[in-house]
Amino acid sequence: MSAPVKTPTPTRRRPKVSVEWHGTETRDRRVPAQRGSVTVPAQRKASAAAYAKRDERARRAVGGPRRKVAQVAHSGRAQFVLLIMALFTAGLVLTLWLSTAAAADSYTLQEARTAARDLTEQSERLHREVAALESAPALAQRATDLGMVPVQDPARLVVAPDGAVTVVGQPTAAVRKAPPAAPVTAPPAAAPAPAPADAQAPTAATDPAAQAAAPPATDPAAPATAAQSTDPAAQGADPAQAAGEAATQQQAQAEADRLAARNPAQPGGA
Amino acid sequence: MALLPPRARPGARPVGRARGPVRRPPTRLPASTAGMAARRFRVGRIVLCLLLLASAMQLVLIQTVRSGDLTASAAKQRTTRITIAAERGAILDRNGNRLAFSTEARALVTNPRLIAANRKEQAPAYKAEMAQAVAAATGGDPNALKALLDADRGYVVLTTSADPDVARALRERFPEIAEEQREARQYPAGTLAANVIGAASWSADDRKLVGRVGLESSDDGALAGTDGYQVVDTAEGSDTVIPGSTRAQEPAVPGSDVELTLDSDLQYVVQQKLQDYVAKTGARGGSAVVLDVRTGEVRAMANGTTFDPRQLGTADPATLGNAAVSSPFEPGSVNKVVTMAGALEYGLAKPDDVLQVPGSIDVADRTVHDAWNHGVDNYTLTGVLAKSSNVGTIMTAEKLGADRFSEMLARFGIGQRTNVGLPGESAGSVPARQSWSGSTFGNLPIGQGLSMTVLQMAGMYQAVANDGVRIPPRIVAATIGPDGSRTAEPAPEPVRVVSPQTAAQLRTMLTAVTQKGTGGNTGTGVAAQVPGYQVAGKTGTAQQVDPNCGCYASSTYWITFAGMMPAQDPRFVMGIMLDAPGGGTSAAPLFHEVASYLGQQERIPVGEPAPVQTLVVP
Repeated sequence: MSAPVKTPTPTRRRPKVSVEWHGTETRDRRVPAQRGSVTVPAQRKASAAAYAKRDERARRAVGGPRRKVAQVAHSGRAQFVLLIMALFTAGLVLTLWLSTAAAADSYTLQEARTAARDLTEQSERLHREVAALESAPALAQRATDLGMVPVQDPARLVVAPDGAVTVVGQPTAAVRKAPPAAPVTAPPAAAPAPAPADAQAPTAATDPAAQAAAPPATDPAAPATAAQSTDPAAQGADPAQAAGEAATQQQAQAEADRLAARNPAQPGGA
Repeated sequence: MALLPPRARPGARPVGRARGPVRRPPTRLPASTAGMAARRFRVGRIVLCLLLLASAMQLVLIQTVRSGDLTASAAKQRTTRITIAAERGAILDRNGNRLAFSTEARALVTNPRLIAANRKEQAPAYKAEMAQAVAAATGGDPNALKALLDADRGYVVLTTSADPDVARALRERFPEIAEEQREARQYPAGTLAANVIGAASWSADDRKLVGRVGLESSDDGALAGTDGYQVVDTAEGSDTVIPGSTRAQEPAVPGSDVELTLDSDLQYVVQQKLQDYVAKTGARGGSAVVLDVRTGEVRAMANGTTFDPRQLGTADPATLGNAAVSSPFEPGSVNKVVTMAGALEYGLAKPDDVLQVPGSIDVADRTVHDAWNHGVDNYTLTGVLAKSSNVGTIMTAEKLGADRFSEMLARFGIGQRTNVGLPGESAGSVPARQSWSGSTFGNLPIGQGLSMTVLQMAGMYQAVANDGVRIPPRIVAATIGPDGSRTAEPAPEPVRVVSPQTAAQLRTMLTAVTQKGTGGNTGTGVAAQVPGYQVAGKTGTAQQVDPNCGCYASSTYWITFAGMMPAQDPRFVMGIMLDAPGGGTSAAPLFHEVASYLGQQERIPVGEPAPVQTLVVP
């Protein structure tokens, strides 16, 4: 701004003013006076008028009704300001809403994480319990607790193509032996005493119902089935009863499929 | 500034002047004061400059020369390497039942000294309450916990395996309790197959589970996985990670699952029956192995004594091993099958050839007797095997010759590790062929003077059962990677031992061992019979070496049985060894019990009873 003061040459100042008009489209003719930054001396009125005419021509050359343009420009600015305000407001509301939502979500997330953690822990615990309960020793123990008795040598019914049924094996009642030792870490102190070889007339063998009722305190009934391998002739004294028991035997076998079996008496001899 | 001399006050001037005229002219006084002030300014400026210079130098020193060191040590203070623990893989049986797996757990620790200091006179009551609560939640002993808390120590571990939620509840109730992350190893089946699986326990040094015994130890590499890590900045003195400060991270790779060929149910039955039988016969120990005939897979492997992997710390070290693969023994008559296989394979004898067997035979400087006294009897070759005649076997072995016998032993896998996949496996021992003395050949055919494990013994009979093809046994079926991909173990190379015809003849001959006939036609293993099935097998009794005299003891034996069922189309082979049981014991009844169970569990069809074979010819 200091340059025009030092050299106030009109020829250098005018073009600048006219150039400004194109850009701002001010509606007043007396553009220089309106701008106020340039003072036109009185003796130069003629040249000023000439400039004004030239400006007018230039304005015409650009075209369009001047008043309408001005109005559009005015309302356009207001709209623009309104738009910016609306945008600001919307942005502010959005920011507030987002931060509130984020805070709320962080609580939800926290809760969900806690729930997921609790469920994971619960699932792990349940898996562990299931694994423990479905393990072979636990199943055997529970079956024994239910009164189930593992069968040693089941008799089987073989149906021939012609419908004839053959009994394979000697049907004998499964008897309950002394509670099976839980898996041991050392040899059990007291082993079942070997029974004498001629001890196969146990009362339990004649009464299958009794076998589940009371576990024998000692082990007198144990050799009933075991003895058959050493002395088949001595057992199964009553063939009729044996046939009747065959079905029971089969059922018991199925039930006690996974159970630990009892020990037969020790037959001796190699 | 405080060090500068105090300025003369204006009011003091007249006094100074009143005294001063003697020494100084009155006109010089103002000039002297101005000079002093100027000097002070100069000195002050110099001091300030020096200080500034020193600061600048220090700045330059810190910012440039020592910058590297200081940055590094600052980073070291902040940077923390956090290890991400990899979960240990599980051990499964052939049906996918989990025999060992890991769960997340917490160790609870506290500082009794701090409690005593903070709670003062309420401390004893508070500690008692804490002991009660911890015991109730974790199943510990309240008195032991109370004793721990009463000790004057700075760090006690209350429990090592609390569930995370239990630990959290306790920590919220007692702020003095701190948690430490642990991984607990679960053995839901307890002692089931414990000698095979082994045990893993927490290692305080490695901060992870480490296999100590058995497969847990030998397969530790596959089971353990690879720990991950995360290099982050943490706030000083705490574990709080500064967000966005992660420099490097590597996720943990969980360990692989190991799937075994064991069948939990069968394993339970075999283990239970063997342990009962060992206890009943008063044996020192025993081992039993069940193999799948067609694949050589180990279906069950049990020992007379076992341990509970859940209480590894209190277990007797003697029970931790797996005698079925690590303890060789002399097999006794079970080994006679080698001689018979050789004789049949090379066409030197047929099962119904009749041998005139005397009561004893001289081999080099030794005389070998039969187990019972008899004169010259006419035994068929089947009879020699079924009645377990030492003399008849040595006569046959002499026909076979030492070289072919030695080769046959090797083909049966005796003296070689099976590489079953278990740690501490023994190869057994067979004297080298060149070191055989004259009497060696009188011992080996009857199963003395060489040793094998129960697994090797079962493997011999597996070859006979599998039409002469021996498949080295395997116990690890596959490893299942963390992504679920199943990698089967490479199949072992089968070994042709004898021809299918020889194997079939041998099976028939072995069936005679369990036959009950008349007129001396009864075999030695009648007790192994299973109603409805043909059972082929062989009993064995071997004298143990008395460590006192280095000779064969006359009262302690290894009692063995190896057999297969059903003999017509074998499905399973079982080897049993009892270590020094009471007199007159046979392992055949134990075979009977397990075989009967196998028939039921595997639904093996019943068949015709085996025809009675002629063992003794009048």
